[in-house]
Amino acid sequence: MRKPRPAFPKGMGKAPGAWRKSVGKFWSVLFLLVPVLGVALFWWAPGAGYWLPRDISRHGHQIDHLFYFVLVLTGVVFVATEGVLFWFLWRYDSATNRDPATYMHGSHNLEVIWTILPAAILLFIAIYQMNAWADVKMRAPPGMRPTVEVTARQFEWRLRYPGPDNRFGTLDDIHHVNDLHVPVDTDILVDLKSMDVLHDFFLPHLRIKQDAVPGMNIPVWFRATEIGTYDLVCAELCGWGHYKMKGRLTVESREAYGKWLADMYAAQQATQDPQAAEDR
Amino acid sequence: MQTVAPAAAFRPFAGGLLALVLLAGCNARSEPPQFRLNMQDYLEMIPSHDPAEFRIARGEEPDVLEEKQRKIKGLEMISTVLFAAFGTPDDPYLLNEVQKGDDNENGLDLVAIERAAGPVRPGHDRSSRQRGLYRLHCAHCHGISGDGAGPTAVFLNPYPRDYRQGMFKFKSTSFTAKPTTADLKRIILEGIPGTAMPSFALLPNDEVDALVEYVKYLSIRGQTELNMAIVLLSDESEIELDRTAILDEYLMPVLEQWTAAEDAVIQPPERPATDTPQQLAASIEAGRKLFLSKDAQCAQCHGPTGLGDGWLTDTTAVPYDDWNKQKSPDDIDRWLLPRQELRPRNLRLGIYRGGRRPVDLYRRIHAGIQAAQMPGAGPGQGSEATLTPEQIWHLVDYVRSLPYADESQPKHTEITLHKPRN
Amino acid sequence: MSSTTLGAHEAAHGHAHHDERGGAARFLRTYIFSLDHKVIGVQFLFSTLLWFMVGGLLALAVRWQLAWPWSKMPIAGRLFPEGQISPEFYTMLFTMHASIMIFFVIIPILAGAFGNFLIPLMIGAEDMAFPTLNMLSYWFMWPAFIFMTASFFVTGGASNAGWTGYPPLSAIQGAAPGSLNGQTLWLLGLVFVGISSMMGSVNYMTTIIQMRAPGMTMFRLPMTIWAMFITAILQAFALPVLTAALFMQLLDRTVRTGFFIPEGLIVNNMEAGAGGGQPLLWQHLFWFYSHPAVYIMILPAMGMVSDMISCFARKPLFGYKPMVYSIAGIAGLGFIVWGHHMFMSGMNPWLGATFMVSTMMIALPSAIKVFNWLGTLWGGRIQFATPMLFALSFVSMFIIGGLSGIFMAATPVDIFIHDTYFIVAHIHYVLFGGTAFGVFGAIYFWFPKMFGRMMNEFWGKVHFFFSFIFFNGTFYTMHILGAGGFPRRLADPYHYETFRHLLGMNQFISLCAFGMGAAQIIFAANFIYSIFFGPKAGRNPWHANSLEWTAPSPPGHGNFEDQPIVYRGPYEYGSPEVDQDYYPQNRPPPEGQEPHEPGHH
Repeated sequence: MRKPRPAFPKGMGKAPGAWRKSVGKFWSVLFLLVPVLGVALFWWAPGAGYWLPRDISRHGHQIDHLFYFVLVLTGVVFVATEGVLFWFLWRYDSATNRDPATYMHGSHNLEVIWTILPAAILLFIAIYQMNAWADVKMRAPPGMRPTVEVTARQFEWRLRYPGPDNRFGTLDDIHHVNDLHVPVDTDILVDLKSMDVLHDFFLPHLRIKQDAVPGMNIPVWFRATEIGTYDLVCAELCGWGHYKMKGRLTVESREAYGKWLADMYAAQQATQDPQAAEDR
Repeated sequence: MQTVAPAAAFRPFAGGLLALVLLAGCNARSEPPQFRLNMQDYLEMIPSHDPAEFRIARGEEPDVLEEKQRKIKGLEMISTVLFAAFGTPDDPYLLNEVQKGDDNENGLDLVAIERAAGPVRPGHDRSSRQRGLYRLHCAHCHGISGDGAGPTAVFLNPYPRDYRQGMFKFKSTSFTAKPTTADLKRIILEGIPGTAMPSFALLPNDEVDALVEYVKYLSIRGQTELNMAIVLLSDESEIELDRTAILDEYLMPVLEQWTAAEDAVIQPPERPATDTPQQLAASIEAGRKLFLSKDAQCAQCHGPTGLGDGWLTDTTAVPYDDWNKQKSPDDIDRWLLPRQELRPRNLRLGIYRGGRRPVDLYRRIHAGIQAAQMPGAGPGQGSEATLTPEQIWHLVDYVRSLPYADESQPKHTEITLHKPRN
Repeated sequence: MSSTTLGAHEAAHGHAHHDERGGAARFLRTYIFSLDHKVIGVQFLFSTLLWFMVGGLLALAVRWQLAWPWSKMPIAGRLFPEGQISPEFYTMLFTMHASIMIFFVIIPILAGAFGNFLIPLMIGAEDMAFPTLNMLSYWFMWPAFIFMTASFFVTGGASNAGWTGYPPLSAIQGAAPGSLNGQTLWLLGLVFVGISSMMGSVNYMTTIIQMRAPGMTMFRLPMTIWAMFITAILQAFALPVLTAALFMQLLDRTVRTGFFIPEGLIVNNMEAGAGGGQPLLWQHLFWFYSHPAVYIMILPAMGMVSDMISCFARKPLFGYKPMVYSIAGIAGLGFIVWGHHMFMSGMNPWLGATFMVSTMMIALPSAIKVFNWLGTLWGGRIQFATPMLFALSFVSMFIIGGLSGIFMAATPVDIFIHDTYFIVAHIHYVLFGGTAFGVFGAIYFWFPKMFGRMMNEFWGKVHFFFSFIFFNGTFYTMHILGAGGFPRRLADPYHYETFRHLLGMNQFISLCAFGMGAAQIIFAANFIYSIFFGPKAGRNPWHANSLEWTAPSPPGHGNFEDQPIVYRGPYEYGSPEVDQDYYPQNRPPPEGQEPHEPGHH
């Protein structure tokens, strides 16, 4: 049964000339651009240097692996659904589609398939990632004592190392600000605190992020595998100066770290002006 | 005449007006920023010189009119002189005598100042930035003129430093001396714990040097202005404004103070031995006794237990530091910041604004803190030392031990890890 | 089944003729303090569109700072002392952008504007169940408007604590400039938005349950109404928690109760007070409301998009009942996933693992809806009218927003992308690409019913084209920023070496954002022009089925001339029973034919 085309209000329902016919194609192609450019951007970005910062941690590869896993999975679904959307728009454009609209209200079988299949995939992702989560947030290296106490305050990271006696809260504690030194290839346990408001201890290169909450001591552990300096970012809004709450993570060899600690200790006990320290 | 922007009062309206102005599409080109004339605040501060003296009403008496015209002319002249001698925030300038050169090693480095001055360049690659350092890092709080009244200042406790008064708290020199270059650099690198001044330790060395030089430039400029203003307001005869007079009477004395700072550094003598725990404990105990004694008089402000709650804080004797004395009184004026009270430091928090090294604490006790009511215990200008160097060392040991006393740390707990269950 | 509306209908008509007093009083009664759901809906629409403009301008200022940090802003730059945006002003900009967009635009435009306008019309009622309550729900927005506007002008400016208002930053006066009076006004404003929403929600539930036309069974309701119904239930259950939390924070701020303030805080060199509280408590309470609120902010748009897609594909909606069930599923699961906002908050990681599983599961109903929309398009005769383009872009953008959500639900990945621009991209794909595009489509679609005139199709499409291009340019690129770890809410992220190379990309994003802002001028002009000069629309310009299209455009007081009687569902496009390709719900079936029931096949 042929149905008459609906009469449209002024300006819409003109005779389907060649120009009119191509309008629907134009919009279809616009929607096709979404997956095409979308994938292209993600293809281009890593090569152009816009991508995850280099991972220098022991556990980071698990997170990166999951990121890529989810990226590929969602990428496939993204391209498939957007592609189907494009094809339906192209194929069933009323200006060119000669077939009458299909009169149907749904398909029980399809509904079952597209309920169970995504459910299974989602459940799989949920279970698949548990281990990585546990490694980063739940299973601390056993028997560790904190290497450094990091106390966030508006707008700086106050650091405290236990000093020669290896105990916190004594006169020989080594105090420092913003410049967190850790030895390479060593498990580090950070005792994370906040003095005032919420902050967030974010080490992009180590795939570490943890809020610092006043009134709580939160353990954070990681192991850096490459020597160098990396940014320590505050990632939780902490006031007007949030943007300048910048720290630096210095990963160095154990010898250099030991020497740095000793130098820091000596400098902190200075009773005379050491000229060298002043000149930096 | 330079424009006087009532910055603090203006800001709250900006949000509301933003939408309106964007809507209205007004496209007026904004003027390059100017140094704010210190005088404007200064006049407000001195009760005998209220601003009405500078407004000419209709039908004024001839002699009053003349006096007013003289002062207005003086203000305009100061403004002109400052412009000629120091330039603008976008385009700083120095007279030859003030500029560092082959024949003048005590001057300021104009190249460094130019690096710190100027607007932040939009979209500029930061690794090779040549200009705008001060406005990028400092101006939010310290203000473009270095008046410590940038847009953010009103929300900070304590307020950012007003460089123009030429007074600095945390330095290695004596009470009234200027800080050394190294002192300023140290503050920029390490920040001031317990205040909003952050550490800029991660900036390249040359950028820090440029900022130090710019702070000096702003301070010298501001103090020169003050010197001229004092003469203008003293009701004496016409202010002399030829080049030599300006240099000799107002500018060079300030520069000389800065040069002299390098010689005013306090070098503490060798401290008494505290190598063994017994020696240290003895020194701390001696320090405690001194702390409570009449000689040192620490406790009357810092309190018998160092909590910053001495009996003197109950009186109104020491409520403001010198900068706050010049801020607006209790009623919030249009552009002056409301006053903040001065509180003696709680010594049990382990936060040392001027640095935590023994040498820093020694200098603090020896020299006192300029403009902040903390007297020095060492010999000062025209005053005898109240404590011997040895006694100061005992006090340093005592103060350093306070945060670690058991009663100071009831809240310290070490973390316990979640027990892994799998 | 309810069929009690006939009597009420007459009573309402009678009432309309009583008010014969002076012109001013009558004008007030008809257009200002009107009890008519359509007028109230339009009032909501105008108010929220105005706030949409304000919120958008704030966002553009944020974009300026991110692309050209600390440099003098054109036009508005004159307002700032020293010519540059100060960091606390920047913080206020993004806080107020989000607060306004969420609480003053998205929530009230969906429930307030379209809920009010459409519910009685679509179910065949002459008005809401409680017209006075309905009027109050609009006028209780006004204290909120006033508080929020006033907060810009108090010392310290408007709220500075982020739209989530996390304590202690928000709860302590010295912690942030906007934590002076700005934050108190913010809290009061939100309380009034809550009161307004609660009034609306009670009204919608009652109306939908009690006042449906004869024959309008629950499973003959258009998806829009189903979505509004479930949204109203969500509001009713979640809002009390938010209101309680808002009052707790208000007490913390005013009388220092310390619900959210732990012991021993020193902020800005001032002791914070008694303490004994826990900052995480606020996060739990806030997200217990605000996660369901995410669905409050999208479900009605989903409903309206379903209606538009079916209408312009000239084909019945694919899987009507699965669609209804998935909306209900989203609502149910929506209450047990709030913890996924708090994976990094210091909450017990075991709890995080639990929330992660429920969060994964809530992606399922959304996926089902997308598949059904695609199924609806399949085999149709698609007409690319402006509302359809927006509805299609809703689907296309929602796919992206939904899929990017899976990254965050995966807790280990969230460790890296939490609080980065990946989240910003995600929320804007759902709320702007999703809801706001859906709302644009709905405005184009129901404009003829609201004002009796058509909006200009050509300029509508131009508006769509530029919005769509610039939207994707702005927000798709943000995924890449997020992958680079670029954090949100930083006034100058380029202090960090790690993010310095992203400046160029941010400038591109900002240019796109300005383009997107400019595209809305086309919409505003089209909207205002069309109200007065658009071509007159008939009753049913789109040849749609649901009941509102059988009323005059615009409908008079009481909506329908005759009580509509419903014979079928709203999606009978292309039915073989009739000659034309649509089959309005109230048209009696031809003699001797059994009415066809969808779902029985």
